[in-house]
Amino acid sequence: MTVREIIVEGLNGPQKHIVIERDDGSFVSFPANPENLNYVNIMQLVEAGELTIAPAEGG
Amino acid sequence: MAFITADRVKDTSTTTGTGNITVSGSAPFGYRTFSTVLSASDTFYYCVQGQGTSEWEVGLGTYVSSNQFARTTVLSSSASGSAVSFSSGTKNVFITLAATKTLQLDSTGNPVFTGVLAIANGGTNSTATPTAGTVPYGTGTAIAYSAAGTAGQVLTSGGTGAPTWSTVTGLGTVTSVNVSGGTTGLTYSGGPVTASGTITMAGTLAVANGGTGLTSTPANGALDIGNGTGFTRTTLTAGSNITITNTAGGISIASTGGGTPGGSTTQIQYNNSGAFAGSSNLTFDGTNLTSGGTVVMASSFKRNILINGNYLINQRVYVSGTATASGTYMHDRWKSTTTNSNYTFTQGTPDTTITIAAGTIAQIVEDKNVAGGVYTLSWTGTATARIAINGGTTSGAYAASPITTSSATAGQTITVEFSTGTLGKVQLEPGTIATPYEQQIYSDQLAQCQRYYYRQTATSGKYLRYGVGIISATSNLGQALVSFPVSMRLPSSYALEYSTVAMYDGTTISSATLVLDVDTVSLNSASLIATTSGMVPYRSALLIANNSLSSYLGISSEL
Repeated sequence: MTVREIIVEGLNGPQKHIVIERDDGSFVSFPANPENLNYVNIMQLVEAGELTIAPAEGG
Repeated sequence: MAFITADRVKDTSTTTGTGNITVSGSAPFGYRTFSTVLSASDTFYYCVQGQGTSEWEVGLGTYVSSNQFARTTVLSSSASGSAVSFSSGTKNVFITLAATKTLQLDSTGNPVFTGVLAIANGGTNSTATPTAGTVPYGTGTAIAYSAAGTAGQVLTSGGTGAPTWSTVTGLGTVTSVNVSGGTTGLTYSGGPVTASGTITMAGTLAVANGGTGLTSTPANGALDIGNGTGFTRTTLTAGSNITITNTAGGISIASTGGGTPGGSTTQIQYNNSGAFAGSSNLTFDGTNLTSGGTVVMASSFKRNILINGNYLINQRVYVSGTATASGTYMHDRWKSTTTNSNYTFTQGTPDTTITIAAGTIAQIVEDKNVAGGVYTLSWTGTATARIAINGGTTSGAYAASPITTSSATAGQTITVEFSTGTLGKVQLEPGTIATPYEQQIYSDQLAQCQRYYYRQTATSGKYLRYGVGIISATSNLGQALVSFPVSMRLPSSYALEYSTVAMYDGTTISSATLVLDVDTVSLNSASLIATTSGMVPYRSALLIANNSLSSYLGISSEL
């Protein structure tokens, strides 16, 4: 499983997302905003040192 | 007729022989005639004495008629006690005291008496001699005397026979008397008594000794009612439709309502303006409850606030026995709460029993579904559970089914968490009673799950169309709109799950990576930004499965 941060271009400008690529080749992605529970959970794992997020290129 | 004795009564007679005596009727000077003191049939003691002879006679006479009496019984005479045959000549005749009929005192003053004195005259009608130590007793006709006892004996009745003397056994001497109340609750004062005195009792007799332990004065109608340790002295409390009237020494209980069931047999009784009534529209025959009208359900009719409690919906296609990271969802609405949690199961229809082999799984009840109050969690199987209310996290010991919560605050999430064991038909419902599992229609249960997670899978078509879209100004960027079958929980919580997808612009199919366009999400749809390649700018396009039956696209809005 790899976790990375990406920035995509939306109609109103760039958006930051977290993308998790599972070992089976499937993906999970969600907006990287504090209102998103998935994002909050990921950040807790990062703070606990249990997860590392690859930063977005140029992000 | 009377027995007469009188002083100075004397006359003379010339009567001869042994017959009646006739007197002259003329008394000597200083005497009275017989007729002045006697009447016919009177008796008296007489004496006849010849004036120039030795003839004399004393006896009991009966006055026959004036101046004549019969010599009824001769007591003594000059004829050796027989009636004297008087010779001629004048005789002195007078009333006398017969020697044998006169009670006299001897020289020492004691009465000279022969025979027995009758009971009626104050005698004993007996000649018995009271020897020393005897006691007199009645025989029914006379006074007799008992035998003499010995010292220390007491008299014992012989009934109608003679009393006897008996020896009393067990003799002893009491020198001191006292009384103790022990644990009875009673107290005594005034003791010990060593000679004479009074011991006074006080206190209250305890329940253990047959008392009440109470000292209060009973009010009218008061009863002593057991309270587990003793008695409470109280009056009865009237329940509904009952009146109680307490009087001195009595309690009257009357019914003010109720009465005879209304309607006919099998009809359910209801309160019809204070009286029982029945209706053919609601009957119970001991087996079936039948309503002929409309049954109006309360809002709590849909009791189970857990979703997918029978593990019927499995949109994520969780595979039996797969170790799962904490926070990862398995069957819909159920997520692992421990690293490497897993359970095994064989999918059933409609109900599935899972076996939690390791770790724990949980479901969070959305705050909108918590009306507040006490809830009861029940399930089948050997798994144990614990509950957190008011938005808290689970902690503490696990317990077997059923579990009742303390009062939960409305609008706060509830989390139920299960540990290892078999598990099925999980239900969390208002109240303290665990009712049978509430079965859902499949489509309803799927829709309930889809509020939190919605997945399309390409199982039936390897180029499944997930949504329609358009290519942007550049060939490597597109957008696709995905609509949801039911309104999802919270757009800001959405996460996107997918595998093996592509964009298709009518000419080219090119694999794509997807993210949600945060500026387009709603309860019912979301637009996805697809990063791809080789597309024709500004051309309409489709988001599709990329030639794979394993392809899927899911939106999560779990708690």
